[in-house]
Amino acid sequence: MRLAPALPPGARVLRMALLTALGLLAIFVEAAPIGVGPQAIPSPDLLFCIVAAIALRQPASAPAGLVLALGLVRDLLTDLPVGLGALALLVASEALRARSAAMARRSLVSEWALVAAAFLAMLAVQWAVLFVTFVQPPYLFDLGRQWVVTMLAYAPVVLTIRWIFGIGWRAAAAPGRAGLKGEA
Amino acid sequence: MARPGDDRTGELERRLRRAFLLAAAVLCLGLFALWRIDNPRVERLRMELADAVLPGMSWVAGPIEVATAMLRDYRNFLDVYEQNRALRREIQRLRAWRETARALEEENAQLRALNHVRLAPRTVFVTGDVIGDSGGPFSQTVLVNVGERDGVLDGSAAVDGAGLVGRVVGTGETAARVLLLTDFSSRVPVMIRPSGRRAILAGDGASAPRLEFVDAVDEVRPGDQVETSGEGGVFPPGLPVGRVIEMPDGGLRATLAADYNRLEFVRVLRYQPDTRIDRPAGLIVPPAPAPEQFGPMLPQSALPPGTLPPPAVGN
Repeated sequence: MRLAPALPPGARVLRMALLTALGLLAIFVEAAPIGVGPQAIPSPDLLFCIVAAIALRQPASAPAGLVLALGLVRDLLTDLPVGLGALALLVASEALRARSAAMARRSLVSEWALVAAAFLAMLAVQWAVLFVTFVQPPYLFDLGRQWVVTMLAYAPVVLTIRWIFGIGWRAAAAPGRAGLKGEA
Repeated sequence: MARPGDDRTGELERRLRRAFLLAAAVLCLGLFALWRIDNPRVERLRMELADAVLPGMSWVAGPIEVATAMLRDYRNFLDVYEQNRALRREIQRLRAWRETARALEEENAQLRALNHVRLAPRTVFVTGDVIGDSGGPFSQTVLVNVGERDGVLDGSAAVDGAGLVGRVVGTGETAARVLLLTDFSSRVPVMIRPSGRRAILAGDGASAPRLEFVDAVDEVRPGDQVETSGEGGVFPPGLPVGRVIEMPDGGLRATLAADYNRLEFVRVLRYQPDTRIDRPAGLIVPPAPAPEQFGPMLPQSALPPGTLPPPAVGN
């Protein structure tokens, strides 16, 4: 299999700027006070959706340093355990990045399953670390709600990234992949 | 065939990536440890960042807030007829209450005048817009756009129209973070009316926080009013918090008066506790006598010898 030629450096910088802008927007939207308090539906983890979608499609456009920085900004702004969320996001994005070429040949559904598993692992690790360090961890029910909401948000995020910002699979001509065009 | 994840990079770049990941892990775990050990320092970091990105957050939060408000208004619009009837009934009921309140206010004023009661110490407030919440299940805080510049202090009480919302736990120049009463780490000393019993309102992630350390459980009934007791000097006393409810297992909780679902504005109180007398009688007792003197010295010639009454012998 031949991968598509690497992007020219200008385009890569442009896409990194796009990830930065989208990431900050995602953080601000997550932080926007739509519903406050325990009864409100938790906001989806949009930053994770965007990072996962880009890290799978264009690994070079989502450098680890940028992902780490976005994760730390989010931790600080939305009152999460500082560093823990960023590390979980970074490790998840690296794990997805490593499966980028393999996923390019699969369908959206299997991509979804992979991302769902990655996010579940992220939440589980964060819960476990908080539990071990004697911080009161969140209720599993609330974490489950956040997981469901995030997975529901993943498809619109992927569509936005694909159709509005034109970030498609790196191996666009990979044989055997129907591609989003075929599914739409 | 390229290996998965191998961006046609050499061995060197893979190693660099691994080293970077390791460094990032150490950095993150270090920050996490710092957060766990020295929370105030991290809180300051949070608030400095919040100050920096506040304009961006408001731009994003503004339209979202407008959209949610429109959606809510539309829902209200759908059942406006039913609401109208309910409001009319409510007005009928409140008219009667208004008269009662007027009478009580007059009586109260008279009694105060009779009593020369000193009114509560100065409480001023500053109103802020809620521009962010923690959003996820990990904590329950909101970010408001008033800060030290507006006189918000760490520990100030935040209220909405109906009752206590929470306590300021971090202040930046233009932003402050309010810990909601439902957060796992929220503890507020409260008093339960009418019995006057004290308790601690402890958040545990549920929408009705637990009432802990109630000093006489059998005097507290469901429906009793919960208000801040002012102990600790952080909150002014008498802020409404909510009402007592009893859980099926016998535990007491408080439904909150503040409406978290419609939290758009909060008022942050700048409360200065009244002068407190915390030492016994420091102004009244004369300075302690010198150690060798026991009682006032009488001049020897003041009383002729023998005129002193004899010491009481058991009779």
